[in-house]
Order: sequence, then C-alpha cells, then structure tokens
Amino acid sequence: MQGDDFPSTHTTWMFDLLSAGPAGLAALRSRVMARYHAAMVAYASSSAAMQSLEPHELVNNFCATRLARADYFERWQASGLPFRRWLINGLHFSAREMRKTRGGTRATTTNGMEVEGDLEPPTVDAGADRAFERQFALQVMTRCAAEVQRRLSNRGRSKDWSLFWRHHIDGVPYRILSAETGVTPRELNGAIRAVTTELRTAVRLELLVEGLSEHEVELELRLMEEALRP
Amino acid sequence: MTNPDPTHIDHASAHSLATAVLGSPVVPVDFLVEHLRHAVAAADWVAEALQTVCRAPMPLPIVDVHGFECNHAPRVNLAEWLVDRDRDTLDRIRARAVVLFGAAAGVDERNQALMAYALAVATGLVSHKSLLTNQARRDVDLMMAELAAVAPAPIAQVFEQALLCDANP
Repeated sequence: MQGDDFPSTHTTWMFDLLSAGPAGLAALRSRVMARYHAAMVAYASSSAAMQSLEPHELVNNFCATRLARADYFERWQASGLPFRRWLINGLHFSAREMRKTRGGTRATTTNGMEVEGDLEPPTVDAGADRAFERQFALQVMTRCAAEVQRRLSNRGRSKDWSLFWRHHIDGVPYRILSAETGVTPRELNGAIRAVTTELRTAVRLELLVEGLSEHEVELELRLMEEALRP
Repeated sequence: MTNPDPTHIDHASAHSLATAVLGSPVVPVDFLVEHLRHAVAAADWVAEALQTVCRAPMPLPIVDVHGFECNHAPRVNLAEWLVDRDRDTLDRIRARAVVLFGAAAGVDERNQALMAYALAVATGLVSHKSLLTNQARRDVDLMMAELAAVAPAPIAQVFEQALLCDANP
C-alpha cells in the first residue's frame, strides 16, 4: 500500500543541486542528511517493523549504503514518489537488509536480483509517519527560531526575543509582562509582533526554498502545527 | 526575564512557535474575517451581533438598545449604550458572546475569547475609547494588544488599528 496522504516534498532546491554536477550531488547528500536525519531516526524509533534495530545505526546504515549510491536521486526521480516517502521506503529496505545480514543470509533473492525493493513499497506505518513529520517540524522550528534570535541579537534586540518567548511560549499575558518590565502594552505588542513576523517569514522561507507555492506553504504550516500538537 | 535557548526546543515549545507563526491555527479564519470586515467597514454586523445576543435567552437588560435594527448609524448608539453599562454587564455580554459565537463556530476556548474580543471591537468599545474611563481604556488596550499578537494577519491588523486609535467617536 502506498501512502497517498503522505505529505509531498517539494524539490526545486534538490533539482538545482542535482544539475550542478558531482559537487552539487555531494552538497545534496549533505543537505538531505542535515534536514532528514533526525526525522528518520524518529521514524525508525516508532516503526513497528524496525523495533529490533537500533534507530541511529539503521539510519546511518541507510545513509552509507543507499543515500550514497550514485543513482539514488535519479531513481527517486524515476519513481515519481514524494521524496519523504522515497526516503522512508529506503529505510524499510535497509532495515530488511540489516535483519537478513544479522540472520546470516545475504540480501539477495534466489534469482540474484538485489533486494532493493524500491518498486515494492512497504506497508505505510501511520504512527511512524507522524513521528517523522513531528520531528521534521521540530527541526524546522528550531532552525528558524535560532536564526531569528541570532538576527535580533546582532541588531541589539535580544530582549525582544525574550519578550516574545515569555508571551508565546511561557504564555505570560501582556498585563503581567508589562508589570514585570515596565514596557507599555502597546510597546510590548509592537516588539512581540515584530518578532512573530520575523519568525513567520523565516519559516515561510524555509518552506518556499523547497518549492512550495504560497498556498502550499500555508497548508504545510498547518500540517506542521498539527504534527507538533501535544 | 528568561533567556530562552532556541537551539534546544522541545515539542511543546515548537508547537507554541508554530501556533504563533500561524496566528491562530484552529480559528475559523474565514468566519472571523468575514464578520470583522463587516464590523469595521459597515455597521450591519454590529446590529447582527447584538441581535444575536439579544435573541438568546439571557438575563441581560439590553432590550433598550436603540438603533441596532438600523443599518445607518447604529454603532454610535450602541457604543454610547455600552459605555453607560456597568462593568459587570459588559463582562456578561462578552461572556455570552463567547458562548454564542464560540459554540456556533466550534472553536476552542482560546478562540472563543478571540471571538469575544471581536465583539468588543464591533460594539465600539475601542473606537469609542475616549468615552471610557481611563481604567477601561487600559483594559481595552490590553485586550487589543493580546489579540493583535495572536490573531491571523487580517484580523490582527484590525486590532492593531484599534490599539493605535486614541479615539474620537
């Protein structure tokens, strides 16, 4: 069964790197690992089919044996699958290979064909899919928050980040913040709203880089919010 | 004041960040936008809102609201009427609006509060701030500041304008 509801991965930046020769391919591998490694570990940790394997070891094995292949991205393009689904399918096949290797059998079929299985997709694991999306969303928010805080700090506006955090993350209302800081509600609103806008821009850019349209960015933001819900 | 480290964010904090980025993710935005557009640009929604409140079985003395059946200039009358009400009555109106609009839209508690604030604006509490006592104006400013920070962009603009309005009716 193929997960038709699995969020698509938009790939403008990937195609750009793929067309840039060996250096582009190396950069693409690095970037894919940076963006998806933690999410894949989360998937492996939640997947019922991967419980017998150590998640980090499995993902590292996947990166070394599959992601590193010269034709990995070409085969993905030929598959027509969303990239995230392609990654997860590959992770399943890495898991099968690791189990077979540990069981003393080689990862080949009787007719000698390598058990790639990329044409034979594994069953969708909705819980593990959610874990993947949840971790991916966490990574996006973490990267963007760090970037915004760094920019504010460079402009000498570190306090604005603290105010933003106190209000939106700690849930402190303006009246209490105002009493604590001596800043008027109107000034608080202005400062916090500016940080919010900057964070929103950073997150939207992060998603636009992947080639999403404006409409798709909004949808992806909502999916991220859903994925992060407690 | 805390000094938060954004490189170590847990899922709950990330969710709060996503919520802030989205504005108010579960609010029925179209519903709010549509109604606030009317609230700001025309007075008919004010009338509609108050009519809805009035029609509901509630022990509030608002049967003497004048003008809300008229689409020409009901806001002033309503605002004057509301300003004349005591604080408890206004709170009860807002609370009733929370139930009416929140339940109707199926929104959560946070957004029910947002709806109530929307009603407060629509009924002229903000645009007629000069008629309020100093304490009431500060309360309204706080409300608007809270709302402007969490509302989706089109709604937030309305409240930001309201916040910046020092207000002559």
